[in-house]
Amino acid sequence: MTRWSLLRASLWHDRRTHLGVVLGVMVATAALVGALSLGDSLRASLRAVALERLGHTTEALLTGDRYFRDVLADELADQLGGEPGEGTVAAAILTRATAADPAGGAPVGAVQLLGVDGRFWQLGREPVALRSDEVALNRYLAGRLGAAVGDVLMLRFDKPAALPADAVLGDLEDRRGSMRVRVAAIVDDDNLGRFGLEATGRPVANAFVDRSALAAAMDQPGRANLLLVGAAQRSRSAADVARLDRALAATWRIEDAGLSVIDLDNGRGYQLQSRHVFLPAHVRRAVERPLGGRAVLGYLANELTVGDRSVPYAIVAAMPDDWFAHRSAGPDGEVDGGNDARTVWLNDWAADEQDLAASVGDELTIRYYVESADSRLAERSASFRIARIVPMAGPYIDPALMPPFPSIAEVEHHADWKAGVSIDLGRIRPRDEDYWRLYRGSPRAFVTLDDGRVLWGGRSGDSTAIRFDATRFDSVEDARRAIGARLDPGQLGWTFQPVRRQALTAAGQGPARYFGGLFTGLSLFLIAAAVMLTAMLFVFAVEQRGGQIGLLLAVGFTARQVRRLLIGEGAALALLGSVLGIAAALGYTQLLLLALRTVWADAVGSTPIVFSAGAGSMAGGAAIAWLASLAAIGLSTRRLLRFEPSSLLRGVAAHAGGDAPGRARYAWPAAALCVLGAVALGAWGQGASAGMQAAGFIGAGTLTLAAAVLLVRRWLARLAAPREGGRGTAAGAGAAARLTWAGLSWQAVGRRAGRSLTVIAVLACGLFLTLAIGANRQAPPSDPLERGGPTGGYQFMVNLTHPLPHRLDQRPDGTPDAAWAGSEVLAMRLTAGPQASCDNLNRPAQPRLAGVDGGVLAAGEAFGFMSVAPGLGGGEQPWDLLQADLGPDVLPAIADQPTLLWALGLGLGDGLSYTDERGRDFEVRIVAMLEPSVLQGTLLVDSSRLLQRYPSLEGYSRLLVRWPQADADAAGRLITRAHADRGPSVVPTIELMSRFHALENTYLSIFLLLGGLGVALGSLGLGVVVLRQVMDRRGELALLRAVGFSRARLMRGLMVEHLGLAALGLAAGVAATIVALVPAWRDGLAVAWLSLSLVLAVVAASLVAWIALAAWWATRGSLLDALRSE
Amino acid sequence: MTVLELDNVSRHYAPATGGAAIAVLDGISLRIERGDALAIIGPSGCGKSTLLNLMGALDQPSAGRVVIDGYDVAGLDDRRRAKLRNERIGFVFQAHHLLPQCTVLENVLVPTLVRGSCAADRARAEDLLERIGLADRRTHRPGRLSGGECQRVAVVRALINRPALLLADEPTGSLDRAGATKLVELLVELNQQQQVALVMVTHAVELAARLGTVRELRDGRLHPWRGVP
Repeated sequence: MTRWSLLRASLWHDRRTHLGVVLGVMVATAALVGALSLGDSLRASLRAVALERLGHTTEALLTGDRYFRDVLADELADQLGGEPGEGTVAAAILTRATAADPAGGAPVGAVQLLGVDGRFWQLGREPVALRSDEVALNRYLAGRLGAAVGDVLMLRFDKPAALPADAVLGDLEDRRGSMRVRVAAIVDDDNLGRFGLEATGRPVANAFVDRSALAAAMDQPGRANLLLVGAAQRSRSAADVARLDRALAATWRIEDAGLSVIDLDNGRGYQLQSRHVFLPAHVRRAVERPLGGRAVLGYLANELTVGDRSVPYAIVAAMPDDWFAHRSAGPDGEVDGGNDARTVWLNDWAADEQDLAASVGDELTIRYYVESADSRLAERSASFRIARIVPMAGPYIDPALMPPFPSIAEVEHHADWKAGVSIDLGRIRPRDEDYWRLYRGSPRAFVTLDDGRVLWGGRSGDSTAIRFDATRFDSVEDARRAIGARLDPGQLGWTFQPVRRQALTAAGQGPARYFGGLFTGLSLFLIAAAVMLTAMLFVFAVEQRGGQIGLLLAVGFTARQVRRLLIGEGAALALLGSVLGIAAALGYTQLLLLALRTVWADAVGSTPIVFSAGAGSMAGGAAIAWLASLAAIGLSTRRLLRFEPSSLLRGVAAHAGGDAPGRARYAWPAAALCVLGAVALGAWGQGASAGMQAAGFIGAGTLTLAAAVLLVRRWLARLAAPREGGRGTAAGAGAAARLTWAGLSWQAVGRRAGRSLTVIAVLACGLFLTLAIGANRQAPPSDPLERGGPTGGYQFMVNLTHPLPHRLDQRPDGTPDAAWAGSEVLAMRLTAGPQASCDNLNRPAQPRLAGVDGGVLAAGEAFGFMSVAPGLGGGEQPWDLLQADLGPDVLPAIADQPTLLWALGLGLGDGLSYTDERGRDFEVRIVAMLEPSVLQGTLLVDSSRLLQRYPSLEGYSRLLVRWPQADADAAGRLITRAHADRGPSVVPTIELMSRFHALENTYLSIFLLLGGLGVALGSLGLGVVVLRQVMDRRGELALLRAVGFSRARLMRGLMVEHLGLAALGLAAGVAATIVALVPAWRDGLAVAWLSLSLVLAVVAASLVAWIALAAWWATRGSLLDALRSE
Repeated sequence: MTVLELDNVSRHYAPATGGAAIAVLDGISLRIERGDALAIIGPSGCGKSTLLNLMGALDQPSAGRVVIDGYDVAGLDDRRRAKLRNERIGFVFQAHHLLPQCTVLENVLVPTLVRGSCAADRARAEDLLERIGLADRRTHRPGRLSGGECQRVAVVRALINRPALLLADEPTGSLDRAGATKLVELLVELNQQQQVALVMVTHAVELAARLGTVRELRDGRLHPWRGVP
């Protein structure tokens, strides 16, 4: 015989009683391990999606609208040397498109169109062969189109332009390309069907075509804009990515960046120019001075005017000072001192009588278009003094000074010009056509480079060419090499991104990281209820063994030794429960996953969730549940061992109960303090930030619950205490006269004060949490026109696959569009990158930026602000903070609370690192936080400052629209009809907010369910209390039967007694809810009374059912045996 | 050798409603030597069990001293009182309090678990069970024994650690006449054979008379008994 054998025997002997303890621990373990496993599953799922999305791709380089030679992939692969473990280098084309059935039907926008070759498919599972007229669709796009193999589709996409479409002189027309293709295959998700460079939680519509065919359709033969590098077995380290960048720098040519060197005729030297018209400023800086070059700028003027005479559409060249200095001496040797500022040299063709009839000293006015600050087209003019009339000979005939303006430079006739601005072809004269025929783009006027830059320098650059003397280089090739040596792809922002590592990081750093903790929090009440029930059942079982405990103490066991035995039993039971709980957790997790895939799908978006439970979560969760149960058991059994052995042997412990009145003496003042504290916390949280509101809400509710528990405790103590002196000294006759059946029942309640109090507290807490969370369900705004609300006063959000180069309320030529009279439009430029919204469970490192005009938002007083970073000013209009000067490399940003707090984990003053198009790092810093709004998912920055960082950003791809007419849907129809080829998606803002709220409300629903389970467990506990109470009082009840009480009456008495307890618990929970919600009510919270009433009714019904069942069970059979045993 | 000494021991209880304390025992002095057998009788509720609990260090006196085998109980902490009960005292209660989950043999060995049971303990247990005629029931659980058999097992349990003092509180209260007689005979026999001091509380006068000395507890004090069975 050993203590261990005693413990085993005790466990086996009371196994029926202990079953409840085991089940309680099992439930707690299952809930905790299930929640943690859910987090594991989500993380594993996101990781799997990320890896599936990329296939074997480890790094990627996307160059946007700058297309490089597709053979760069081969050259890079050769440079890398093909080491073991090195995989594929594939060139591809990535662009946006719309897809439609050519026979009709609405086009599907936001299609990711990929031009690929065989090497791309080496990054996947198996190749997909595509002819030039074929397309492969991923399953999502095929589903949206209803397309199958053999169907014919029309793909429409934007061709890459030399200039952004909305830049002055950008080519707006003829930018659209199309391909008519037959569906050759449906690509599975595990074979790059989900391919994308962004970690987005939303499904991606992918279409794959032959790269060469797509390049030809885009007028980019032999070119690509995406390099994918894949390693079969490992992700590269940062050092390896740097090696890739070095290999690229060693391999690329200036032609890959659209640069070229031409030999200027007649020994005039060499010229570096760009197919993108303007040379980026950093290219100029890297090349001009170090290589002894000189920048020039050519521009198209609308008109040259002297007096009342004018010449239309003339090229004007802005030349460096030494160009003028070299030519300052006239043909007769005179030196006139060069060209001063605001003077112009005019060629004699333009100065001729047939044109301007101009002379030296006359004032020449140059009219030209520029892009204004609000992205409108504006015509400006500048006046110059004619300093010289130059001949049409020698250096003054220089067609190369005209930049390769798209749709201008290559045409034969003036009349065929297609600039992005309106050209009055009627003004083109035969003389102009003659000039064009003879001299092409030779400038008619020459101004200083400084003047030219002031007038015509823009976001695309401040020079159109760099010229080098003929002596500087030996040949064009020599010049190309020298220039290439001065440039680095990184200066263009061409650096490889470790997309695989970024994807895995985003999957691990996003909300998924704390999903397990979130669900644990949601399940906390369920877990706590289970642990509490476990302890209660264990104590009940031990109380029945009071005689055994007394005996052990009597024969010499110390209280500590007995306690160790009991805790040992509890530990063994809890261990068994934990182990069983792990098994139950597997099923519970599967249930939760099923719910997340169906009724709770909004919580995880379109991410396919697969089951994955880590050993750490299972072991850790089980250990925590085991420890918590053990702690509860240990605390609960302490009370038993305070009795003397003689009391235990007499069975006093099993019947003892109730606190001494003295211990409840301070209940009233303590409760009053709690109530005051609750009111104060509620007032403190009212109108405060969300975090403070939540703290105030929880604090107020908790204090109210505490006050309720204190008062109930006091009342129970009074019930348990014998009648005192004074009035009570009439106890003999008076007490007997006042004795009632109900009074007997309530006295019984008082004898079990601790037990009763536990049940009341559990019920009250559970109900408070359930009701209070339920009351916080969000509803979409009723009036989208409310400016300070979540819609900002806008009724629609329009997303365009192909950005609009001009404002929605303008025509392409910049004139107002009468159809939009009275409307308000907020136009946004969007960078590439994933949304940082709550439905994206990945945490993007560089979320999408949205360029907006803060002035429009300020004027419309759009959206509401939660908080503003201190010390930055902002004053009455926080939108002005978008213009704040925080340093040269800092871009102020504003975003709404869900984006910052939940998706990105950022607060005011925090920042994110970005790299602009020129490879320069800069910080986007949060300066203000909006209330939850339709702007969720993007960081708002000033539009013009965004263009400085990303000058190639063209047009507006997102619009918010406020439509003044009664028929709001007319706006949507107008957009869809007028811009159908841009793949518009028009969504009412109320619908957007409903989607966002659906996500939030889903989490609340989850909490309601899990909280409801906890309350149900609490009501089961009350049923157990009823059973145990009755078993303790079997002798008493038997006596009552013996003196004439019927079984039905006994049952009613038990029901009244315990329903009273239940009513106290419910009342305390409801009171705490009301106190906690009052501040929110004052702030306008709309409470779903029906839902809450339903929940309350269900809980109450559950309680009644459990109590009735327990009372019926306990009073069945013969109670007279109890009399005999007494 | 004095096994137990009570020196002017009193026990009072304060009512929950306040007021004067109720004296259950009032100035009791007593000395029990090794091998003595004392029966204490008295009406129900007179404090017999209270007196026995004080003798067994299961309770503390309100006044006076309780010295067990030379140890003043008042000066001992919980641990040493427990050790005293384990090594010096054996208890037999009205309800046998056998652990239902243990066999007869295991129940007898329960007191030895405090210091760790050994083979010698097992041998002694089997020997004692043999003596009371229950050796063949040693693997049975209490549910299969009669009330009298359970009480006899409880007696053996009380003797397993060779106590100097055996306290029996109404040991025959749950037994019929024949069973009660047999049990008392067993107690007397063990008292004589093992020279263990025996104090038995009972309201059955005829059984009390079988012990050498009978005292009556009346009004909180011990009086010589002059009655006849």
